[in-house]
Amino acid sequence: MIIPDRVGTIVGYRVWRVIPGKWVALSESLHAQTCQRSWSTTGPTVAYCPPRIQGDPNKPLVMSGSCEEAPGFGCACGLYARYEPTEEEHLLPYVMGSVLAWGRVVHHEDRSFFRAEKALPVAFVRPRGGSGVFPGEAEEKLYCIVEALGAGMVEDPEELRAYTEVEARKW
Amino acid sequence: MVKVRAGGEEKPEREEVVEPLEEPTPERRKERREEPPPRKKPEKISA
Repeated sequence: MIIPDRVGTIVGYRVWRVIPGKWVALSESLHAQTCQRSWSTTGPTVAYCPPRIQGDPNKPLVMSGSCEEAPGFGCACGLYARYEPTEEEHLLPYVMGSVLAWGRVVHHEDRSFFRAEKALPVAFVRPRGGSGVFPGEAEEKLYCIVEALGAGMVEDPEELRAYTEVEARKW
Repeated sequence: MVKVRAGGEEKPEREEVVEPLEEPTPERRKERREEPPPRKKPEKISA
Protein backbone atom coordinates (compact mmCIF):
# COMPACT_ATOMS: atom_id res chain seq x y z
CA MET A 1 0.00 0.00 0.00
CA ILE A 2 1.34 3.43 -0.94
CA ILE A 3 0.68 6.26 1.47
CA PRO A 4 -0.17 9.39 -0.53
CA ASP A 5 1.82 12.58 -0.03
CA ARG A 6 -1.39 14.57 -0.21
CA VAL A 7 -5.10 14.26 -0.85
CA GLY A 8 -6.80 15.66 -3.93
CA THR A 9 -6.12 15.89 -7.63
CA ILE A 10 -3.86 17.94 -9.90
CA VAL A 11 -5.28 20.11 -12.65
CA GLY A 12 -3.66 19.82 -16.06
CA TYR A 13 -4.21 21.00 -19.62
CA ARG A 14 -3.43 19.15 -22.82
CA VAL A 15 -4.33 18.58 -26.45
CA TRP A 16 -5.93 15.47 -27.87
CA ARG A 17 -6.65 14.28 -31.37
CA VAL A 18 -10.19 13.22 -32.17
CA ILE A 19 -10.48 10.32 -34.57
CA PRO A 20 -13.49 11.07 -36.78
CA GLY A 21 -15.95 8.72 -38.37
CA LYS A 22 -18.27 5.90 -37.46
CA TRP A 23 -15.72 3.29 -38.51
CA VAL A 24 -13.72 3.97 -35.33
CA ALA A 25 -15.42 3.06 -32.04
CA LEU A 26 -16.04 5.88 -29.60
CA SER A 27 -13.79 4.13 -27.08
CA GLU A 28 -10.88 4.44 -29.55
CA SER A 29 -11.59 8.00 -30.67
CA LEU A 30 -9.72 10.22 -28.19
CA HIS A 31 -6.01 9.96 -28.87
CA ALA A 32 -2.92 11.58 -27.54
CA GLN A 33 -1.80 14.39 -29.84
CA THR A 34 1.21 12.67 -31.28
CA CYS A 35 0.84 8.94 -30.73
CA GLN A 36 -1.66 6.22 -31.43
CA ARG A 37 -2.61 5.61 -27.81
CA SER A 38 -6.26 6.19 -27.00
CA TRP A 39 -7.69 7.68 -23.83
CA SER A 40 -10.66 6.09 -22.11
CA THR A 41 -14.01 7.68 -22.92
CA THR A 42 -15.80 5.94 -20.05
CA GLY A 43 -13.58 6.62 -17.06
CA PRO A 44 -10.10 7.58 -15.90
CA THR A 45 -7.23 6.64 -18.19
CA VAL A 46 -4.43 4.71 -16.50
CA ALA A 47 -0.85 5.09 -17.70
CA TYR A 48 1.26 2.15 -18.65
CA CYS A 49 4.82 1.88 -19.81
CA PRO A 50 5.25 -0.10 -23.00
CA PRO A 51 8.45 -2.09 -23.56
CA ARG A 52 10.90 -0.16 -25.75
CA ILE A 53 13.20 -1.28 -28.49
CA GLN A 54 16.80 -0.10 -28.27
CA GLY A 55 18.62 -0.15 -31.55
CA ASP A 56 22.33 -0.57 -32.11
CA PRO A 57 23.33 -0.87 -35.78
CA ASN A 58 25.95 -3.51 -34.92
CA LYS A 59 23.85 -5.64 -32.58
CA PRO A 60 20.47 -7.34 -32.59
CA LEU A 61 17.55 -5.20 -31.39
CA VAL A 62 17.12 -5.19 -27.61
CA MET A 63 13.72 -4.97 -26.00
CA SER A 64 14.08 -2.99 -22.75
CA GLY A 65 11.69 -3.60 -19.87
CA SER A 66 8.85 -1.32 -18.99
CA CYS A 67 8.53 0.58 -15.70
CA GLU A 68 7.02 -1.39 -12.85
CA GLU A 69 4.88 1.61 -11.97
CA ALA A 70 4.09 4.26 -14.56
CA PRO A 71 5.15 6.99 -14.73
CA GLY A 72 8.73 6.08 -13.92
CA PHE A 73 10.85 8.96 -12.62
CA GLY A 74 13.58 8.57 -15.22
CA CYS A 75 11.31 7.39 -18.02
CA ALA A 76 9.12 9.19 -20.55
CA CYS A 77 5.93 7.25 -19.83
CA GLY A 78 2.76 8.54 -18.19
CA LEU A 79 -0.16 10.77 -19.02
CA TYR A 80 1.16 14.18 -19.98
CA ALA A 81 -0.43 17.51 -19.10
CA ARG A 82 0.71 21.11 -18.75
CA TYR A 83 0.20 23.17 -15.60
CA GLU A 84 -1.33 26.04 -17.57
CA PRO A 85 -3.61 26.17 -20.61
CA THR A 86 -2.11 27.63 -23.77
CA GLU A 87 -3.70 30.51 -25.67
CA GLU A 88 -3.03 28.76 -28.96
CA GLU A 89 -6.15 27.89 -30.97
CA HIS A 90 -6.47 24.29 -32.09
CA LEU A 91 -8.34 23.19 -35.18
CA LEU A 92 -10.03 19.81 -35.37
CA PRO A 93 -9.04 17.04 -35.21
CA TYR A 94 -7.00 18.59 -32.39
CA VAL A 95 -8.81 19.82 -29.31
CA MET A 96 -7.57 21.40 -26.12
CA GLY A 97 -8.99 20.39 -22.78
CA SER A 98 -8.29 19.84 -19.13
CA VAL A 99 -7.82 16.86 -16.84
CA LEU A 100 -7.91 15.97 -13.20
CA ALA A 101 -4.83 13.83 -12.55
CA TRP A 102 -3.81 11.72 -9.58
CA GLY A 103 -1.82 8.70 -8.46
CA ARG A 104 1.93 8.80 -8.99
CA VAL A 105 2.86 12.16 -10.51
CA VAL A 106 6.28 13.17 -11.85
CA HIS A 107 6.75 16.92 -12.09
CA HIS A 108 8.81 18.64 -14.77
CA GLU A 109 8.30 22.15 -13.45
CA ASP A 110 11.17 23.55 -15.46
CA ARG A 111 9.37 22.50 -18.64
CA SER A 112 5.85 23.30 -17.37
CA PHE A 113 4.36 19.83 -17.51
CA PHE A 114 3.82 16.73 -15.43
CA ARG A 115 3.29 13.03 -16.08
CA ALA A 116 0.57 11.27 -14.13
CA GLU A 117 -0.54 7.74 -13.46
CA LYS A 118 -4.29 8.42 -13.79
CA ALA A 119 -6.28 11.21 -15.40
CA LEU A 120 -9.85 12.03 -16.31
CA PRO A 121 -10.72 14.66 -18.93
CA VAL A 122 -12.84 17.43 -17.40
CA ALA A 123 -13.65 19.89 -20.17
CA PHE A 124 -12.80 20.74 -23.76
CA VAL A 125 -12.52 24.06 -25.59
CA ARG A 126 -15.09 24.28 -28.36
CA PRO A 127 -13.20 24.02 -31.65
CA ARG A 128 -13.50 26.94 -34.07
CA GLY A 129 -13.01 24.93 -37.22
CA GLY A 130 -11.24 22.00 -38.67
CA SER A 131 -8.21 21.28 -40.74
CA GLY A 132 -8.45 17.54 -41.14
CA VAL A 133 -10.11 15.49 -43.83
CA PHE A 134 -13.36 15.09 -41.92
CA PRO A 135 -13.78 18.11 -39.62
CA GLY A 136 -17.57 17.70 -39.43
CA GLU A 137 -17.26 14.07 -38.39
CA ALA A 138 -14.53 14.94 -35.89
CA GLU A 139 -16.77 17.57 -34.30
CA GLU A 140 -19.67 15.14 -34.11
CA LYS A 141 -17.40 12.56 -32.49
CA LEU A 142 -16.08 15.15 -30.01
CA TYR A 143 -19.62 15.87 -28.78
CA CYS A 144 -20.17 12.11 -28.28
CA ILE A 145 -16.91 11.94 -26.26
CA VAL A 146 -17.96 14.93 -24.14
CA GLU A 147 -21.30 13.26 -23.45
CA ALA A 148 -19.71 9.88 -22.58
CA LEU A 149 -17.22 11.48 -20.20
CA GLY A 150 -19.77 13.83 -18.64
CA ALA A 151 -17.28 16.55 -19.49
CA GLY A 152 -17.88 20.24 -20.06
CA MET A 153 -17.57 22.26 -23.25
CA VAL A 154 -16.23 25.78 -22.81
CA GLU A 155 -15.52 28.67 -25.15
CA ASP A 156 -11.91 29.64 -24.42
CA PRO A 157 -8.83 28.80 -22.31
CA GLU A 158 -9.81 31.23 -19.53
CA GLU A 159 -13.20 29.61 -19.13
CA LEU A 160 -11.48 26.23 -19.27
CA ARG A 161 -9.27 27.19 -16.36
CA ALA A 162 -12.18 28.52 -14.27
CA TYR A 163 -14.37 25.48 -15.00
CA THR A 164 -11.60 23.02 -14.19
CA GLU A 165 -10.61 24.70 -10.93
CA VAL A 166 -14.22 24.50 -9.72
CA GLU A 167 -14.33 20.79 -10.67
CA ALA A 168 -11.03 20.10 -8.91
CA ARG A 169 -12.31 21.56 -5.63
CA LYS A 170 -14.96 18.81 -5.48
CA TRP A 171 -12.34 16.07 -5.10
CA MET B 1 23.93 2.39 -28.72
CA VAL B 2 21.09 4.64 -29.88
CA LYS B 3 18.36 5.22 -27.35
CA VAL B 4 15.12 6.57 -28.76
CA ARG B 5 12.73 8.09 -26.24
CA ALA B 6 9.43 9.85 -26.78
CA GLY B 7 9.49 13.40 -25.48
CA GLY B 8 13.26 13.79 -25.69
CA GLU B 9 15.26 14.86 -22.65
CA GLU B 10 12.79 14.86 -19.79
CA LYS B 11 14.69 16.02 -16.67
CA PRO B 12 12.10 15.40 -13.97
CA GLU B 13 12.35 17.53 -10.82
CA ARG B 14 10.27 15.68 -8.24
CA GLU B 15 7.60 13.07 -7.78
CA GLU B 16 4.68 12.66 -5.43
CA VAL B 17 1.63 10.50 -4.88
CA VAL B 18 -1.69 12.35 -4.90
CA GLU B 19 -4.91 10.53 -4.14
CA PRO B 20 -8.45 11.89 -4.03
CA LEU B 21 -10.71 10.64 -1.23
CA GLU B 22 -12.92 9.22 -3.97
CA GLU B 23 -11.70 8.68 -7.53
CA PRO B 24 -13.41 10.95 -10.06
CA THR B 25 -15.42 9.10 -12.68
CA PRO B 26 -17.94 10.43 -15.22
CA GLU B 27 -20.82 8.98 -13.15
CA ARG B 28 -19.64 10.49 -9.86
CA ARG B 29 -19.08 13.84 -11.52
CA LYS B 30 -22.62 13.82 -12.90
CA GLU B 31 -24.00 12.85 -9.47
CA ARG B 32 -22.13 15.67 -7.75
CA ARG B 33 -23.33 18.14 -10.36
CA GLU B 34 -26.92 17.16 -9.63
CA GLU B 35 -26.51 17.50 -5.86
CA PRO B 36 -27.96 20.75 -4.53
CA PRO B 37 -25.38 23.20 -3.21
CA PRO B 38 -24.96 23.16 0.61
CA ARG B 39 -27.34 25.51 2.40
CA LYS B 40 -25.82 28.46 4.16
CA LYS B 41 -26.44 28.62 7.91
CA PRO B 42 -28.45 31.68 8.86
CA GLU B 43 -26.35 34.35 10.48
CA LYS B 44 -27.04 35.10 14.13
CA ILE B 45 -28.11 38.65 14.66
CA SER B 46 -27.64 40.03 18.13
CA ALA B 47 -30.71 41.70 19.50
